Amino acid sequence: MRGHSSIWLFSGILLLAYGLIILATGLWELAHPLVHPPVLNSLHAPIWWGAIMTVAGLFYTIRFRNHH
Amino acid sequence: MGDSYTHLWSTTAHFRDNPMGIHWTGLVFGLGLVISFGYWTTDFLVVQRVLSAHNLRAARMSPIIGASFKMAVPFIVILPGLLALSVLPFHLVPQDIAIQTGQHSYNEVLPLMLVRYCGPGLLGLGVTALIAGFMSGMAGNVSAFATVWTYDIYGAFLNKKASDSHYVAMGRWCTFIGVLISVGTAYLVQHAASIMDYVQALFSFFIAPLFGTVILGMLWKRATKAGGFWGLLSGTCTAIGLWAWVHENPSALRYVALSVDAKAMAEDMYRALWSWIVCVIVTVVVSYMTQPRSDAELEGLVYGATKIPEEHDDYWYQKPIVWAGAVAVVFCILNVIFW
Repeated sequence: MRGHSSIWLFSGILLLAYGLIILATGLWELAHPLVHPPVLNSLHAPIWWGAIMTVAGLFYTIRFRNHH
Repeated sequence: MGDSYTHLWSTTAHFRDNPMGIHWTGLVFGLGLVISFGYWTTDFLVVQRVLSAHNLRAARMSPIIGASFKMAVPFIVILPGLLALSVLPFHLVPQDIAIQTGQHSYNEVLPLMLVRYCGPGLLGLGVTALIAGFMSGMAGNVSAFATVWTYDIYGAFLNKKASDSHYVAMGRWCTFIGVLISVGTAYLVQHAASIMDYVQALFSFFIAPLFGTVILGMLWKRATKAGGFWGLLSGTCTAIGLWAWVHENPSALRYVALSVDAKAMAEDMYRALWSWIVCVIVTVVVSYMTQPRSDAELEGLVYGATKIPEEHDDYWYQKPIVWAGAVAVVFCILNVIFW
């Protein structure tokens, strides 16, 4: 019988995927500044949020990966 | 920023003094007593969560847990609006003015704030979160619609002996049709002053009188079938009639909402109160005119005629009343802070 996957594994994978995409966008914007930057762009929100989501996503993905 | 933006009660002494155009009686009796109680006890979206609880304590705890989260809703719903009021470089106007002048309406506050502060990556996340929120609310409502139709109406009255696969297929078609109906009703919102006004208007039509019927049917042994039917029908007709009256003749607002200064939302709350009162009075009068049922027939249906299963809690913190008390204390504190 196959083991059950926890719902938190999928939350982790989603967080990880979103986090990596947002982090990559944020880093890309450092090298290629936006033509119409949003307000408070100097705080680099995408890098912070992307990094936090990546770390949280990694934690949940690893902690709740399938047990065999 | 005016007091009316950051206070609950201090500006409700007169209809003129607050942007909702409401008096505190409308908030306490219309919104608090009728619409809110009705939403928590008759809206199937809420009730289905209690019905699916695995024991009595879980069923009692679920509305208490729900209430503690519900108290946080103003911080999620109102705070972005207040922030927008102070940080957006332009003034937001009501929907009908926005359509005429090309300004931004206050219904657009969340997308406007997202566009202002979020670059491409975070903006996508924000839009995803908004859509996920819409979908979860919609999924709950559509599944409630499918359940009520398939189990309680179709399976109970129209087609009692069909196979399980037939009922599953019926439920799936209901879900599909429910989504189509939801899309269709979205166009009705265009005619309301705001999305909230539209929701409250529907609540006053259906939830307010239904609450009168449910509360009397559950707690009052003398209530009869005919009383419930005529009470619910007259309550709903009262609400729709009052709405149509003001729709045709706007000056009727001073009778329905008690003041010429009342706004659409105030009208919704008073309309809910009137329809509930009519429902209760008609139910009581018709019930006294019809034959009562014996206690044996009411077993399992009415509070006084039903044996409540006993439950045993090992620790004080497992008792629902403790948590209900905690929620009540926080509720009072919040009301004092934002008085």
